[in-house]
Amino acid sequence: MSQTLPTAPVVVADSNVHVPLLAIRDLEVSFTTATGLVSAVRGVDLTVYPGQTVAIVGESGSGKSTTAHAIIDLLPGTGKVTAGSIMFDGTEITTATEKEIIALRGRAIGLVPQDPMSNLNPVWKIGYQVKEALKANGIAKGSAANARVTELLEEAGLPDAARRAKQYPHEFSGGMRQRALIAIALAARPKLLIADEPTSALDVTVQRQILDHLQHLTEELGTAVLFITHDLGLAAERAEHLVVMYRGKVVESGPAAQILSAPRHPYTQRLVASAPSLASRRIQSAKALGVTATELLAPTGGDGVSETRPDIVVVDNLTKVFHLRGGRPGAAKTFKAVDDVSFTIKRGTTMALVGESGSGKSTVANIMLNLIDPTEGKINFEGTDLSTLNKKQLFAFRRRVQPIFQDPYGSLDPMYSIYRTIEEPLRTHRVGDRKSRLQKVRDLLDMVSLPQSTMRRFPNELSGGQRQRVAIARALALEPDVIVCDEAVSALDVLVQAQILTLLNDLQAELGLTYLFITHDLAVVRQVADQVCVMKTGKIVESATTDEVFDNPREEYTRELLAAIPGAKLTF
Amino acid sequence: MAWYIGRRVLQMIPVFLGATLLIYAMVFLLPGDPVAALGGDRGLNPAVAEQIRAEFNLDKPFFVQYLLYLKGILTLDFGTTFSGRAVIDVMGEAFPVTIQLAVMALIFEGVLGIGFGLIAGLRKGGVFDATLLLVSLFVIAMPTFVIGFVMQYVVGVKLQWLPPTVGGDVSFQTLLMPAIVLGAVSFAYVLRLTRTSVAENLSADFVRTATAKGLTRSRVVNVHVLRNSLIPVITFLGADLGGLMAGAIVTEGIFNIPGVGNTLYKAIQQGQAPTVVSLVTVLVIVYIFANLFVDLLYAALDPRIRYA
Repeated sequence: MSQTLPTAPVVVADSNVHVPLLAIRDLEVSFTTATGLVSAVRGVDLTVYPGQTVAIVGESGSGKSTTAHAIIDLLPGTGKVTAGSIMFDGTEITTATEKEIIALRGRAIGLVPQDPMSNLNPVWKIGYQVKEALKANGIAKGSAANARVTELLEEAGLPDAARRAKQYPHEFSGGMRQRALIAIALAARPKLLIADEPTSALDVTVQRQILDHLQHLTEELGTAVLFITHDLGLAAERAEHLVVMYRGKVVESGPAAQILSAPRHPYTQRLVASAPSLASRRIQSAKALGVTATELLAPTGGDGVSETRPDIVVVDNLTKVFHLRGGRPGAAKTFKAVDDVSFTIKRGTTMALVGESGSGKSTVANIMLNLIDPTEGKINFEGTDLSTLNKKQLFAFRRRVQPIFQDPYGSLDPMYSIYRTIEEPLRTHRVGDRKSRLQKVRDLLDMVSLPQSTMRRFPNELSGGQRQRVAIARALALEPDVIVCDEAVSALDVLVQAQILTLLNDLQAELGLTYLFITHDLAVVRQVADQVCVMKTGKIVESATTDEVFDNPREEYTRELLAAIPGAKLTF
Repeated sequence: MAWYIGRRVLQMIPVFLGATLLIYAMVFLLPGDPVAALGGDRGLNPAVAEQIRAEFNLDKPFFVQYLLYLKGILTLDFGTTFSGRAVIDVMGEAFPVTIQLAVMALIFEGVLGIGFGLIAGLRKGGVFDATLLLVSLFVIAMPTFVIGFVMQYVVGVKLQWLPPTVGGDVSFQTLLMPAIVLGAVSFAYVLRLTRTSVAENLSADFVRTATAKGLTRSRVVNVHVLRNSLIPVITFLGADLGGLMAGAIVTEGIFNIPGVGNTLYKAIQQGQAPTVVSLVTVLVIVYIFANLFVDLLYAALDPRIRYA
């Protein structure tokens, strides 16, 4: 970043520093539903000074995004501010006219939204969408605007910006789209930037690059940032001041370091204790000090016992090639999703397959589950080559390997009751009679700590964590040897994530299960895995025990992934 | 792109062959002897009947008849009707009328359907929206011939605002009412489709981002909501164009319009295979081209669509 950035319209002058840029007082927001008013935000106070970075931390449904959207009057659906005040730079937002709000949006308050995939209009070119922000706020017009668009995209860290501006969103990767969205948000040099989980949909290494860049830009421009995240480690690393929200209320706020070291509210204490990014950091620093960490750790981790365990799965030189159809005859291409992958998993241990999106880890999982056939190579399951199985043997084999998928909303049939969902595999494999199956479902629900009454309910009546418990119960129904967890906790809130990981660890100790744990998140790996394979573009680049990978990563790529776990700069 | 169009045109060959064979077979299998029917109650002189059969190849086996017919088409000879007119002339008279009618109906349902649908979508849940939903449901539930006869009687005969029938006088004015009747049901569908699509896009993330940029409401709607919402509507309209042309049979009957529908109806009744097959084949080709056009238009509206 050699070019000089144009200064923000407001220079952080000494006299301004102690006047809040944004002051929210006793804010209440409610949504009208069929059953009446539901309050989402209940009496929130929040202050942001010019140039300051404040983070709101909370899980889904805590009201953090609703608070942020209230600031620019973009509450979804029936949402309404019912009480309190939002004072921004001398304007009372709750009573401002539509015209005043439009003048503030973009010009004084920028928004970097959460999901880069859905936040750019797919039918307009990137450059056009950036230019709109310039024109709407009277910054530049015509060819001057075009030149400015290129500058802004470059500034946001998009290489080859002039050419890229002429492309459509679908030609951009997620990280590039998020850079374009940052360019849009900063186009009119706002005084306040609201960053609503700006990177949670991106790969970890990209996440880090983009946050670094955003931090650098806002510091240089003197922009105040309201950063919204569910990850306490990330918040503490990026913001000076933290605001912890729980069920629509601010439960604790203060300087980041203070909240991490001495959380006062019980909820914050639980967050500090279970956020995977923080937990994995703590395990590392505890090990460095020679202290045994009290954290959740894989039951067989580094105990030496695993050396003597028999191999249950041996993957040999696995390769999977996909054929992509070309635009015209002869233009068809092939794509190697998995390239010569070999590893073994010992019975009763957890193997983590780590990689970013597109690394081929899910393809390996699908081959393991025998959902797709490998192009080359084979999988030996306790000495049996899976490719030699006939239809009947394959059916029997499926009992022994069961999946748990990422999205508990998508992997349960909404029309099936929980009982039917868990009972289905038993019925398919003709296990027991009606009565014994009912008993089995009861036992399984007990095992995953769900009440018996759950049986009669439907997926839409359960929370994300409960649904994932149901998915685990269903996977356990056939008493498998191996469970393939494909990003099984990535869609869950941190506290729920910690609970599910504990459950998986307990079940492993109790039932001697073997896990193939597919994830992009090394922080989770630290807590559950015995062995780690790091995948990149279809190949395994590093394979070792979890301790080794964390203590002495050999590959540059592994080091990058490790550095991307939030909280590297925090001390414990 | 060129490859894509080329492939689509090549795909028309099997569709063309299949459609003509199927239609030819169906007409061939129609009960009754068309030649005998020509003579009415008195019956034809057997020698004359033989001569007509020979002239129209009706004495040959089915496949030979079909191949002879195909051979004719390739030299643009669509055969003649029993009364001796060239089928191509008959088509030349009927098609312009039907095309004019279909295009007028398409414009009516497109402009009004999208316009009202947009307003209803923007004011979802309001009085305007509720009224339009009720009206559109009513129109969809009502058979076309009922709408046709009622409009013909009220607007044409009682109020005398528009001519009640067309007859030989084909003009914008005489075709206006038939076009509205023909497009009525599709108008209701377009309206509902646009409304749903607009309402859905209004809550899309990119629309919120556009608003957060500081754009005015009208710009957000025109630039970010409308174009995206039109994608499914255009698909429907394109597929409907073919349907409008073929489906005009009822409407053309009610208003006595000398178009394809009327001609086709008479030809089927008389078992005139060359006329029926030729008309239907052209309709099939029109349908295929309309679909190709829609696919191209689709890509113009949505850059994510690539011809692969």
